[in-house]
Amino acid sequence: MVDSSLLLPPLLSGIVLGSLYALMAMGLTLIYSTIRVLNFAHGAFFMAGAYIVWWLNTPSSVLYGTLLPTSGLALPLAVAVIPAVLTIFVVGMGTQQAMIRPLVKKANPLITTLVATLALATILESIATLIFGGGRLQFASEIATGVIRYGGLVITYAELVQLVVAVIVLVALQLFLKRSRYGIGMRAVAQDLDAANLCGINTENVYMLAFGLGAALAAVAGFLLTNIVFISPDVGWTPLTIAFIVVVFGGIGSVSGTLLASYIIAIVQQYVTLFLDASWGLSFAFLLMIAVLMVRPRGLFGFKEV
Amino acid sequence: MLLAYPFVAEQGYTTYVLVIILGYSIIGLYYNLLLGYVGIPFLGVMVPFAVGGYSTGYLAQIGLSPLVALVVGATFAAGSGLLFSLPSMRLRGLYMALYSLVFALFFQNLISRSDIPALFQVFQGAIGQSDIPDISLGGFLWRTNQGLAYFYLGLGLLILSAFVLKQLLDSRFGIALRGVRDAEVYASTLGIGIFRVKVVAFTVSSLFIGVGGAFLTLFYGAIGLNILDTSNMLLFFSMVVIGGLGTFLGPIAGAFILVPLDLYFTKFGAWRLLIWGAAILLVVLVAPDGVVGRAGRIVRTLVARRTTG
Repeated sequence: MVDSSLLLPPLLSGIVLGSLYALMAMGLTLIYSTIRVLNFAHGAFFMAGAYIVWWLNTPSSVLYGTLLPTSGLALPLAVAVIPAVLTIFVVGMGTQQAMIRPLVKKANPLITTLVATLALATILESIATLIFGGGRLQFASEIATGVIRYGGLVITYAELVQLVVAVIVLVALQLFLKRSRYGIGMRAVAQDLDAANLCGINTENVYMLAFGLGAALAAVAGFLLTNIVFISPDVGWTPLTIAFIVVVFGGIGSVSGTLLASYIIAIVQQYVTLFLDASWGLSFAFLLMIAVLMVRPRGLFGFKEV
Repeated sequence: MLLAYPFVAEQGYTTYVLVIILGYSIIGLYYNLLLGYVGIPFLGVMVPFAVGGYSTGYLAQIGLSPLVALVVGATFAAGSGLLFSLPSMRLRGLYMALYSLVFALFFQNLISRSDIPALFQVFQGAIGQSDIPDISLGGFLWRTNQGLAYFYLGLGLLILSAFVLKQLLDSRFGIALRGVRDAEVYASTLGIGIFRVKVVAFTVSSLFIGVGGAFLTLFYGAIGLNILDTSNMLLFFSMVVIGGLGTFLGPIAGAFILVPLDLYFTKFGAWRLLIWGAAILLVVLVAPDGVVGRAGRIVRTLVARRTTG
């Protein structure tokens, strides 16, 4: 019989992980519910954001055999995050303008943008490989060290920081969507494009903002997740997959569905890892997703597809 | 004319490239069936390819005649398509795309495992299959002479697949297919079984994609996990999109363009993927209708100008 004290840690780490999944998935669902486009480069944004922070943060005294020398700025993590996220935000907006906008107007937008964003992801990944090398890199500094123990439970400070930052970002996002003009505009476009246009909302700007914001969220998640593990050019694909599963599971266009799904998937994954194997975690998530899809083809709380 | 090609052109590397183009064309034709004619954003095209390829390779290795293995392998591929389509009854658009993607990733996870003996025996995990026996019908090994025999086999298979596809598209089933793509609700009110159409479409497409996969696997003599890479998915996708979604010959044109390009780019070494991605991106932006689609429109415009004078 499994020791009951073993059953609690997966729940805790599931909550932390779930918050990070939520960040990723939010970006994806934001983009899809407004522009109706699936961003295959989401994982690449995840990776790129992490690399920029790494580049800014690593002191020049450490050589990693990369094409580009480290910036030597050795900025503390909290500072380095800001330009990294902003850069990816701009890149996201640029991507939308340059690639998504012209394709959405033509035929088969879902499929052509899939190819385009997949191509972009390939480009970004190869740039990262050329600059930083194809291998795994470690961050020079961690967001936090040490652990907290409480009656047999262990949680690292790093996990705590991840959780807190993720939650703050998620809450900020919610406030933005509910209270600010741009946020409300985005929700309007997601609900009913024509009505939004009639209300005078500049949909082009909304698209740009949505894409940029989605990318930025991926970048934040990228930095948080890779910081305590490792970073490599192909590190973005698994988070992308998970984001997809979460989004399908929770239902496109539903913020609460996405949130709920993130935590469920993360917690299930942690328990599967406990009882079986880490590599089964993803497969189980997939099977769970299929099961849900058969009963509720729009996910838990998905909106009706137009 | 094509049959005479080997005697006209210089043999060698060209044959090799052409065989690959033929194989990819078969796959592209049927991927286009799903993407362009039925309008399903199917992201799991590597699965039937892999099922066809791996099962053919395994069967050939344990002694089955390679050509027979090809047929059996393709049948398994069709089975995988059938299996895939069954839970998809109520999935639309985005959800179908994501389901197919995750299905492919799940499949990838399964076959790369080394902890399940049955799976490992067939798929060989990270090692992949190599030393797959060659076809030796007629008393010689088919891979010799740059695979000239494979060229003819591929040509035959392509013609067969194209013929079957044409019959499908021109039949009542073909009309039903397009109905599902263009006006699903209306189609269902007309009594078209949407689900049945999709299941058949997936099964038939998977069959021929499996044929392509088995064919190429026998030609290469090996198969590994790298075929499930995203760069391969990109290749298949762009072949159809760049060739022209929903056009009959589009994928073949796409194969003729992209396969040589892909092979040519290998000389760029580390820069290969970058240039490749950029090239595809550019083409998709410039001609989202695809090459054949664009050509078709140009032809129509010219014809219109002539007649309205």
